[in-house]
Amino acid sequence: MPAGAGHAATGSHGEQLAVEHVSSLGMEVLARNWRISQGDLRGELDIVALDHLNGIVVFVEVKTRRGEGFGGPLGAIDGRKRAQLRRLAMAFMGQARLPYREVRFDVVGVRLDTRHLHHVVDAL
Amino acid sequence: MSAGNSFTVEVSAGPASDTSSRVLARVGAVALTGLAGAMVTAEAVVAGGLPQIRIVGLPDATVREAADRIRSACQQSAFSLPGAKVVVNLAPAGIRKVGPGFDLPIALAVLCAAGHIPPDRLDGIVAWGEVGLDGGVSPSAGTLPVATAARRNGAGRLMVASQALAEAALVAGLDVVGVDSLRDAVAVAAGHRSGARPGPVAVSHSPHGPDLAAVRGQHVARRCLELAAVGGHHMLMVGPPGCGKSMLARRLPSILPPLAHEEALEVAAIRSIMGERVRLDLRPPFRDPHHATSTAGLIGGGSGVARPGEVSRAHRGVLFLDEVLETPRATLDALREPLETGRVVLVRSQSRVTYPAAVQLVAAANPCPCGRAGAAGRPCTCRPDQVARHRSRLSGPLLDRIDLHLAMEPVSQDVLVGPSSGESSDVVAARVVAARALATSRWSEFGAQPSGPRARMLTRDVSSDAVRASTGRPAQRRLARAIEAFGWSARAFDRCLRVARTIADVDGRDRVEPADVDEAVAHRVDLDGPS
Repeated sequence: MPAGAGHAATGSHGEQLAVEHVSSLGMEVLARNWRISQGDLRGELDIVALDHLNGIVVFVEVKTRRGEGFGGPLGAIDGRKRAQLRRLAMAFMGQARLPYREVRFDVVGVRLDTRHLHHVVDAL
Repeated sequence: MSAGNSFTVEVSAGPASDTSSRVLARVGAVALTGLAGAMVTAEAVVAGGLPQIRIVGLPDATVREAADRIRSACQQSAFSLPGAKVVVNLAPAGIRKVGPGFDLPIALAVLCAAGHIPPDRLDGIVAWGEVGLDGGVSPSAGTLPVATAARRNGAGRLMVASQALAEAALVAGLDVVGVDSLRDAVAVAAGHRSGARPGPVAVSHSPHGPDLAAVRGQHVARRCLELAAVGGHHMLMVGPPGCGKSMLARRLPSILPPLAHEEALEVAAIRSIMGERVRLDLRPPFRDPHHATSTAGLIGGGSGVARPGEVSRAHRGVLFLDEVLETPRATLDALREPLETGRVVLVRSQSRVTYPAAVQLVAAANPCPCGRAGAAGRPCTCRPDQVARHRSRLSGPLLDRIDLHLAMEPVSQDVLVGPSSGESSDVVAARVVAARALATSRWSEFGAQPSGPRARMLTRDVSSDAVRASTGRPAQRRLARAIEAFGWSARAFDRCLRVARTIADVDGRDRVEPADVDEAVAHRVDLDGPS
């Protein structure tokens, strides 16, 4: 990771770490940065994974911070973001053919400065 | 490029899981409805989920905002908060929680749940204060009634902002501690620091306001003012502009006896919920609302929980209504209930509050719209119907409750330029204290209970049986003849007899003479004439 990299680079670096973490837990990563722009609904799902152990589709939102932010990386998820994530998940479920019907939303906060990864399971 | 292996990884469960370790923290607080306080417990628990502070238990907007203030304050004070949701419940959830005073108890509960304070250190602590974004703790309105409620409910300790320490310390027998910041509060709660302690209670009782010595002439008015001070009688002054009506009214507090300790506390409690700086003040309050004041402004009002009006802010003191005839009649009539009972009951959809309102009413008015009726010199230019409409603003029932009706005339020129010969407030106040002592000891002998929740037994308020029993037959017979001649009501008989009783008290006589009755009748007949 080059120093002084832009926001996009920070984000993709954090997502890469999150994918490695999720995979290490035994989940199968189905999609990364799945985008949609359909009428009112536009946005991106960072990671979609399958938790075969529990038979659940897991949508993972990744927040990466390079330093101290107000409330930390996890504090950045507000009510509007939650609603959007739910709608994006519905759209994804409608388009993809998935083995499971149950879903879960996880949030992974990555602090690049303190090298700390915080994974909140079933966060929403 | 991948640095994943060198990262510390923390996996925490969401709300669906109950396996996370929970800390339940409890701090006491008080929910005020008017002056009445109910005990509330702020309970905090670390629940799963994204980090946030969530406040439940019927908080109003200011209490809900506490979450943002506390988050910032903790950050500024270098207190880490859990990387999860902290739920704060204000129990019982059925009572509305209003105001930023809840910041401090909520913050302490959150910090305890976060592990910064051992839970057992918070047992019996009640807290009240506003927390700033910088972590400072400042006073919040209502500290005195909160302290009273805490004391009554057996709270071990009350923690307030240092600046509110003196106010909280007015409640005797309560362990009060003051803090300046959140860091301070945590150190005190955890027992690392003792916190600020209240000094001795400061009392102000030096006479205030203008002195009676400045009033030239107006001997009858001076006499009336003294009678009003002794008996607590309500008073109406009618006279042309510039004759000294306001001047006299403003000097009434200077001849009133100082408040008793309990009375001063009642006055301070009203000031406290209005968010004013509170200290123990033994001087009777003096309020002079403008004649355009609304009914809600006068007797109290507001949505949700009604706030005290001028009549309650004048509790135990003087309510002066200048230009009383300019005030709408409906507004004046709203005063009848408080004048009768000494309190105001305000009912709203969400609450019912009672504020004390034992006031002495002093009203002043011009005799007619142009103000010159009855005065020598320039003639009045008003039409009779204008004068009649002017006077009809004061309703009969309200006028009936005013014992002393005083018609004032302009001060003549030789009195104005001559040396001021009037007695000073100190001299008159000494007589008032003596006369009141006489009256009070008599009324307690009679076992006369004043109507309404009043600490004092004023001749204005004691039962009419006691008033009759304390005046001789000859005096009563003389009054009955006068009442009949003027065609006055039975209430007028009762009110006049009280004034006669006060006149005898001022002159230091136990017996009410027929001459006292004559003077009392004269103080009533002055204005309306035989009707």
